[in-house]
Amino acid sequence: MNAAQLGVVAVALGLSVAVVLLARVRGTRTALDFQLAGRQMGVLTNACAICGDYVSAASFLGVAAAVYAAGLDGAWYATGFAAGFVPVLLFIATPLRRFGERSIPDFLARRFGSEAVRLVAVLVVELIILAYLIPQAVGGGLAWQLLSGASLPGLDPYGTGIVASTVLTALLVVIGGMRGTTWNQAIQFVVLVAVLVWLAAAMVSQGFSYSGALRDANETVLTRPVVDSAGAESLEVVTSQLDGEPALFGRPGARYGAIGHFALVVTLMAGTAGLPHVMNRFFTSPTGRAARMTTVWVLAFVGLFYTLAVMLGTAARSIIASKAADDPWLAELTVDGVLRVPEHALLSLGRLYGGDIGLSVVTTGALLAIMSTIGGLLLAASASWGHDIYERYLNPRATRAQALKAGQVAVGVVAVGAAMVAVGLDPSDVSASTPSVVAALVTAAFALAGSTLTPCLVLGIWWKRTTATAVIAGMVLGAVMSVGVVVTGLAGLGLAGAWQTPTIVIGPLVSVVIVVVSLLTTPVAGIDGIWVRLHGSANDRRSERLTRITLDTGVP
Amino acid sequence: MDAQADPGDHRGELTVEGYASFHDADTSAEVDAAFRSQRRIAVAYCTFFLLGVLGVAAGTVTSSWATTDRVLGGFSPSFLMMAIGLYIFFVIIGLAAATLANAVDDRMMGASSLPTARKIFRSRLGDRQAVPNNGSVEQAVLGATERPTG
Repeated sequence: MNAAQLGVVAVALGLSVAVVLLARVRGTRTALDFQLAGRQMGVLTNACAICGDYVSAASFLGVAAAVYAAGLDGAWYATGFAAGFVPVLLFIATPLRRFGERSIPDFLARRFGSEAVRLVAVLVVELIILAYLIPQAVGGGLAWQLLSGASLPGLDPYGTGIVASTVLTALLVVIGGMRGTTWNQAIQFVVLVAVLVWLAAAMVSQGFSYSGALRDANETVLTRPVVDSAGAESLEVVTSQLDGEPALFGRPGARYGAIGHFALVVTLMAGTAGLPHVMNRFFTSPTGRAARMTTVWVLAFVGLFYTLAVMLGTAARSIIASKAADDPWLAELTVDGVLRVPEHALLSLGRLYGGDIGLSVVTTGALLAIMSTIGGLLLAASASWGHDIYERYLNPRATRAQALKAGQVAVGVVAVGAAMVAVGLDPSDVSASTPSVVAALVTAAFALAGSTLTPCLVLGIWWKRTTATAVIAGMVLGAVMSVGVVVTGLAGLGLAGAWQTPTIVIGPLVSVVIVVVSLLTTPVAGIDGIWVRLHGSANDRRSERLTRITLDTGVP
Repeated sequence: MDAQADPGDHRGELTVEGYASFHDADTSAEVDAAFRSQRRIAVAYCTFFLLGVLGVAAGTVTSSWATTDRVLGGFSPSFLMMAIGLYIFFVIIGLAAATLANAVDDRMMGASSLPTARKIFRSRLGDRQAVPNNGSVEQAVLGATERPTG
């Protein structure tokens, strides 16, 4: 890494540190400040922060990689990731914020009046956070490996990237809390979009035509590098899952059969509503209506982001093959013009159109995407361990300082745990069965979320009869089934391909179990009061009136 | 439910903060009615949303026209929807549903709070200010509340 490259990375990371320090000036005095920024985040700020939280390595590197590797099939990742916020808007955001509380386990425990629900939900939330953290760390390792090659003692460059991105983010979260992390995520998302816009503009200014590239790519037979027993590399034609013919970029079937398309989209759509680090952000909105309008802005912002990501994935398929022969740097990453690691697609475009600085800009974008998501995940872990376990069970008389400290310690422990698992994971172990390793691992986290928390949240919010016993049964069943499918799939023992997207089966099954068990058990007491709190708007009106009068009169 | 605060006339006169926290609560009946309307909206828009997304998926895997025809340069109908069209569709659905849901909130909740507000307002301000009959409580309170200078 030369001085200019180092400068780009240093400026971006310095900006993150400065934001956190500025936020710290405003103070993080209580656990509520640390976990929820005092519930005072504005609509646009929170929308950008949610996007920063949501747009992870899977989106920044993974979507372009999936389109590059699997064409039309890969584009479903972008559609599914973006579509997930429509159910959030329709069913979750407003009631979740109106009910209040600090975390998803807290919400479920209060809604169902059950501490057992809280404990099971904490375990499920931690499983989802761990499943989501690992691919972020893997993405950090891959990006650093390509940018620098430098390594810490005892680690290779891949491991160094994992440790550096995770530890740095954990420190920023501990120092800045939710307020610092929110501003960082918002700014980081703006930077990510700016990086994609710059890359697209650079390509267009040098004659790139999206429509023309697609015309060329549509009928391209997809290939992937393989290594034979003697260690020689060659290209293998990808076979369509639909008709057994060679797969084409512009046709379905490169990765998924007919059912697989639906399974992927359903898993991503359902999973978004169950992601604790994203749903926690709605608690930081001042009102339920603000949470609703925040989600509308999120839909617009993620739409812009994924539109660009799909375009760049298509561009990579068209451009990299033609440039690889003439570019020694690119030739090292490719086999006969096809990238060995699809996640290098966006990074390669950065290098091709911006030289070393361009590579640094895109790599920095990847690191920022990873850091903003890791930040959100660590805060969610902090809320569930610090608030739901420490303050509730381990030290019910905790002082504000002790509660704050517990949340910060939780951040450190979860970060170290995820980094250790990621360092031990070899991405090449699963690369053969997925269009993008990072996107596929994140999809497994979506599958877990969509099979456990989403049915509980939707039914708990919209069906009065849902009971505590039923949601416990649903969460346990969903967790056992989805973890079982994913783990056996990763080990190569599961159903081919299905391990990534089991929510299409498990989600409805869990919902049926919740309904049946609810009908067989005693309804939650005091449901009318709970319903007023979930769906009433009195607190919104008071908050809006106070804001209006304060603005009108100038009374602070 | 949050406990409703006293109007907060801590300094011998109606304060802005006190007014803002006057007894404003939703009744169970109006919340239930609003909830049913919101549920209808959510289910209707979700059905429309699923038809759109899964319709594109179904078209992609079952119809060769969707992936072989070209509708805009090199874009096939499926690729055009997945690259651009569906994101616009999501924003339109989200905006329409949010606008309708906000309108339902405004129309169906809070009506029972106005008489309570008037009652508190009258008890606090007495004859100093006429209580409006047309619902403009905010204006009356703002008129009666001393505006700060500077």
